[in-house]
Amino acid sequence: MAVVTPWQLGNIPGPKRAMPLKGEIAVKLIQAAKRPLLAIGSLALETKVGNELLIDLVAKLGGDIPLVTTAHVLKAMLERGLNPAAFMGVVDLTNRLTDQSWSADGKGPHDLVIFLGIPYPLQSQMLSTLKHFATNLRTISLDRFFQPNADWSFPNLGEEEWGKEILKVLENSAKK
Amino acid sequence: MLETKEKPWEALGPTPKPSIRELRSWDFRLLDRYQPFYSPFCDLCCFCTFGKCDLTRGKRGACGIDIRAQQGRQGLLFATMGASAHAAHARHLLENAIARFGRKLPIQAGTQVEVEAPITRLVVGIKPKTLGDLEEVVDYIEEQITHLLSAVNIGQEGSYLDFESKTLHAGMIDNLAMEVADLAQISAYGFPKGDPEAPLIELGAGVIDISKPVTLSIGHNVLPSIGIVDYLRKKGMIDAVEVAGLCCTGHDISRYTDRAKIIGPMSDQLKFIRSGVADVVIVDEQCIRTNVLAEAQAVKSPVIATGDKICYGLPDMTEAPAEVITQSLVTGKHQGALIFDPSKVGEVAVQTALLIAPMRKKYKVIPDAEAFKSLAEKCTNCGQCRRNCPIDLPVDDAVYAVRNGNTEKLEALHELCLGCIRCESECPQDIPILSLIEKAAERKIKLEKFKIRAGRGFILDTEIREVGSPIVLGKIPGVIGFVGCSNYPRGGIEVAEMAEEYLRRRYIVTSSGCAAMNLARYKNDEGMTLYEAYPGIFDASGLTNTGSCISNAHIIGAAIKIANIFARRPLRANYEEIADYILNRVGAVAIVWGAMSQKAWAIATGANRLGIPVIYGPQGTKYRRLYLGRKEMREKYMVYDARTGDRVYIGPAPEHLAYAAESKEEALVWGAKLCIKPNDTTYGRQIKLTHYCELHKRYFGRLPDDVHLLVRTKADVPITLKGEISAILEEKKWQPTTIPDPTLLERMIRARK
Repeated sequence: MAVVTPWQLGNIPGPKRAMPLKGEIAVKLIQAAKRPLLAIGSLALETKVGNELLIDLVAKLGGDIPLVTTAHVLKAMLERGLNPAAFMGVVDLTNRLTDQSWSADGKGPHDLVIFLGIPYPLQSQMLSTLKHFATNLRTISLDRFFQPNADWSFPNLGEEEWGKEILKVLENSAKK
Repeated sequence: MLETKEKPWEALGPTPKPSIRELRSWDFRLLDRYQPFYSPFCDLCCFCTFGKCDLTRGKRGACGIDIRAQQGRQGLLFATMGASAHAAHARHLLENAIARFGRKLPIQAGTQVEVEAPITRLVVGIKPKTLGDLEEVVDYIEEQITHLLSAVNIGQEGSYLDFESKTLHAGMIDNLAMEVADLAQISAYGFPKGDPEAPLIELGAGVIDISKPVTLSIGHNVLPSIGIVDYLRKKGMIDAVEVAGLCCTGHDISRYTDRAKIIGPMSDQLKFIRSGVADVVIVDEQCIRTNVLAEAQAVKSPVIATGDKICYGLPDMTEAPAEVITQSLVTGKHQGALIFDPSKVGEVAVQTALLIAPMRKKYKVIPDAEAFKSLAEKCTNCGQCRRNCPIDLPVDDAVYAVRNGNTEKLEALHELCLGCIRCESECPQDIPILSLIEKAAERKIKLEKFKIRAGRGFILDTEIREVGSPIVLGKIPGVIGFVGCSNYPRGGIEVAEMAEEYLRRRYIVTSSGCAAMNLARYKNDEGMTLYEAYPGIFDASGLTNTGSCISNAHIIGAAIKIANIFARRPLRANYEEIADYILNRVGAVAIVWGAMSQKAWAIATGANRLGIPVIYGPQGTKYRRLYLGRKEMREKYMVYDARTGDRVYIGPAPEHLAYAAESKEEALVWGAKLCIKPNDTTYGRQIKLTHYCELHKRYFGRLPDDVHLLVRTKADVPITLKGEISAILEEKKWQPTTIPDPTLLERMIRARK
């Protein structure tokens, strides 16, 4: 498999690095997970997929994966008629995910967390925490920039290509 | 425990000059509730020749260290670096002040400040009366730094919790060093002494009169800049030269003379140097770009380095006659000089500026319109610039858009850009990207004319008496300090927006350092900066600028003085009790939105040890450690009721001790929340909950889901939200709790049942 460089070129954490991911593999991983969790961050409020805001796509296609919003995303989600399983700062979320007994919806520990729309440097740090201290948990980054601290991450993608990949994931995850 | 020579002025408390171990039990109390949350930046340890050691997922290094302890170790190293920068600064200021004015020069705090050195009294247990008394404090600081740094060496500490305790100790030592440094310069150089109406100072690149020669001082140590002003005064030339300061030196020179002008925070360094406006650049210490010499050389501005921390390989010309040095700089024989004598720096800087200005003619490297276009058109839109930008700015799109005649994207980057030029380092086409940004923003920059209140230093004892009760009882919803560097995720405007929100809500807002400058850089609809629109008092809706980084000591000192002056808690060498008081009663929060330096880390960690929560911007997670609570863990938010000895639940108040927010909106909500303290009166809690709930509704779209944890009795519920909150209380099966006289310290229990 081709080596993918981190989006931020100096962000080289160590020997363990994410596997680059395609949309269809992400779907399989999500479908195979028993207790996935989708974390939506503040960039979802301004990132566009084609002509649509990412937040609108998530609200429309998010499916039955428990959703947690970070930063101030809750308001936008409520305005779209969706009540997430939980809302909290991404550092609080990450901290709780290191606790194997915690879950966002109270239905049992998560085995997969998917990050989407969390600013790159912050997301990188949170994924690092999970890599080291939540070894029971697998992590996926679905933003268009390669996150080496995840278990799997989209490689660095152009906007159009990323749009196709993220749509694949959101549309098919809903059919789980 | 060390002996103190001080004669009794207050009974000596239990911890004069504490060593690493003496406040460890207090640290462990904090760390039990607010556990270290680590985000490693690097999975490896490369500190010794065993390494590199991979510490991923439970692996240990060759010395036995694991990833948690390694993060704690790095945190200690950073805090010690920060503390040592302030300590060395303090030592240097003190030595110079003593050399000039003598050991017996009184500590001068003005007529309205009796508790002149709250941190020194608290930690060291002395009441300094003269400059000479401060030497004992610096001796203690240097000793502690040596011990702390030694713990980082291989084969020393192995527990992450003990590393954290040591980091907290380093933070406390840093805070002490800041206080000594600012006390020395306030006393020796006549800086404002807590004046709420300290003069308004001109700030911004647009305030410089470019028809005059310009000296630009960068850094934190004001002595060489004082040399410049003194020389100009002596020669009657104060109007002949523009004296400009950048970063904290800008603050401090404007505390010495209101004729000085402040360019802006540290992110403006290269932007301003490249503009060519500065005829001579003087560097002192801290937060100065290490390639200033090359950048200044490019615009034909000589550089004068003035301290032993920064020598840049320049010849030491301290002993040479001023005229000889000046000639060598003006003729270009030397591109810079090292001069350790501040008075000589003053003469050489001024004379060089006067002589070289007509020759330089403000030579700049910002391209003209034609060069701008041709340079931008070299861009292949490869994206490497963006991938090297610390805050992921869309630099590539902005540069590439120029070929289509769009310069607006570049112009918009001016206010967001950190000025680090990592983009330029990476550009395969060698495009001077920062210079293009500055060219695109040229018209805007000329309009950058703002006002900032000069750093006032102390918070007055009289102010503390006025606000102590409303703060502790909760009638003033809190004190919010905007402090730290300019590594902002989305520009400095967010700091000003947050500050204004709190000012409107009658919080006390205080500031220092780069953050204080960013508060000044935006104007309201009436064309006023926040400093013009709000009074400089330490009171509800007041905005104070204490000054440079070292003036953070006064913000931290204000929290201590509330415990001492208002609540009459003994101060002398009584750290635990005062910290316990602040943690449980003083609604003060620091927002370090652009945290970058090791000094900012040390300052913030010192505040944490005193029980003051800190909110970092998202970049703050790169410090690799936060202190987070878990509000669902009820057992972690138990205190003693000092009246009875009972263990009482206080709710998550405050929930965290060191937090990082993803967005400005999130930080605003957290700022209000972390001001909530167990000791609030019901009326005070109503006010604090009102702000927390209103901000939560505005930015998160609904009431918080934890409001029931913060309502102790029904009288806590804000009247305006009674219906909504009562419904939540019912749904959550809420039960009232006692409002305790809260303490974490067993020894503070007055009577047991």
